[in-house]
Amino acid sequence: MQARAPLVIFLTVVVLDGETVYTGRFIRNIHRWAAQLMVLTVLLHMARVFFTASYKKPREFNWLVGLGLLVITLALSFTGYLLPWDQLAYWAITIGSNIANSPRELTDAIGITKFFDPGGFQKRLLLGANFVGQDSLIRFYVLHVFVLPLALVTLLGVHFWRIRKDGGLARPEDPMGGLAEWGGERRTVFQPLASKTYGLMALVKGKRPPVNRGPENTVMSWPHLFWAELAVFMVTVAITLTLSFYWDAPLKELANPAIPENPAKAPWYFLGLQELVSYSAFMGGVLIPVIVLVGLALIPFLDRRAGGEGVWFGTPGEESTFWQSLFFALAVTLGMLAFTVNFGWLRNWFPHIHQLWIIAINPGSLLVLIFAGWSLLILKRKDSVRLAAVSLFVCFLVSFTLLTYFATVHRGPNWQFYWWPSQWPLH
Amino acid sequence: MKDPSRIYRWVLLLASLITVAYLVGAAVQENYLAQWKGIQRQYRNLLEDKATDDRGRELLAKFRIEMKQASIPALGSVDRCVTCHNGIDDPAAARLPGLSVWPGREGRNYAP
Repeated sequence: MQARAPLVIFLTVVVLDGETVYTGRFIRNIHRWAAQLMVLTVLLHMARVFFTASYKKPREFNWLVGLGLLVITLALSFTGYLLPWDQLAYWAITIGSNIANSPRELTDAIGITKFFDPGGFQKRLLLGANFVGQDSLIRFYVLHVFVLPLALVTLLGVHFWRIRKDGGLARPEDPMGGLAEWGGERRTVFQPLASKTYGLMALVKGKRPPVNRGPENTVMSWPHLFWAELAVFMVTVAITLTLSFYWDAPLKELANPAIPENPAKAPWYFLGLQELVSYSAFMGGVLIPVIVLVGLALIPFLDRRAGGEGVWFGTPGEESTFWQSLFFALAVTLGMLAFTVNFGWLRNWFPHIHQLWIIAINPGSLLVLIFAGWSLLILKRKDSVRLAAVSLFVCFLVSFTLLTYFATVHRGPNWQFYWWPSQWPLH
Repeated sequence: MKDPSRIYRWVLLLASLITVAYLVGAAVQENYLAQWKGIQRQYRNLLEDKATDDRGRELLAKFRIEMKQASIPALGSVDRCVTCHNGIDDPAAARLPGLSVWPGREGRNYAP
């Protein structure tokens, strides 16, 4: 029976999909769409926190917790991707685990893989074997339903708790200076003395606790915040149900290690990485993701000047830096892709070149260098770490989006360029 | 005094109505619009038309609109083809109009 476990799992998904289980397909669609939307929403949330400068003191720690949650979200989605055990799942995870194997490009190039093989170790740790098989399936399953949810819930708890601990959501300094606007009127609420520490009672003028009003320019969580949150929650549910009603989650044939999918593509949020891996496995699979994660983690510790918290593009010059960086990154990334597709790269020009050259100089590493140079230029000209961070963050967002789009739409069999999937050769 | 949370309550109402609509839609789709149910209803209508003798009446009485499957424990597998291919174990069905021919493949004859 054990040997048939993957088959049984696949058949279970078929049953779920095949209208044998009551509303099974609808529920599977909801699961699939919710997972995709969650990855998207986490990225959008990170962009919002960044562009409203909400990571600044005292919220640096919560920014790091958020990054941890981003990684867990990707890991949850990735482990769930394998579980249907169809061809799509099997080859996507094969690609994903090969990305984990990519340090080997470097260790192979300098000839030390025999003694030191972190890539092979990572891949075996992930898969429990050298290939995607039953050991991987049980590993991914336990990670997906137990380990990662536990980590997610724990970190979520910390994330929400820190919001209160850090003094609520990031917002501008009380812009009305003790006045509050409520129902179209401005009223004096409270002017704290700098020399005094206040208990809650002291914050309230008059004989009764204020109705609908608190100290500073704030309103009560109930009903104001809760109505808004409930509305956003239901809108999310409505969007998920709409997508699930009209677009079915994919299910291909039973996974078959003997028949590779061509092209085999990773889940969409890793396709940008897969494009970079196609230039150099080490650069795209190890160094660039590490640079991006470390760079994101360092933002609040490099950009330490207060100001602009809780306001979109809150410091002077941010909006123009945003647009300049957007067009700069668009032009550079598109130019790099067009060049690579049309003219190839070092291996095409010098077939016998040492692999180390390609690891060092490839479209991915050049993009990183150009973006870093652009950010340093902004830093020098504007003398603002925040603006340098904005330019780098925009470059990251633009290239991530473009590379993801490019690998999704324009890469066909053997990772060749095609304008549309309809032009792929039949095989 | 205008309540600032009013807009959110309207959004909440609208999103909730959309959600309920899709839930009802999914239930309707599942219970009434499933393709195999339509096919089985058609087949039952055929059986009703043909239930002129004892055997026909017996076939009609036995027929339930349900998911039908052949279980093959040796292979750890089940086949649900018969859910739609209703007349497959009934030689008489081969001569029924609309059954011996696959929809869209009228040129081919599946009669034995």
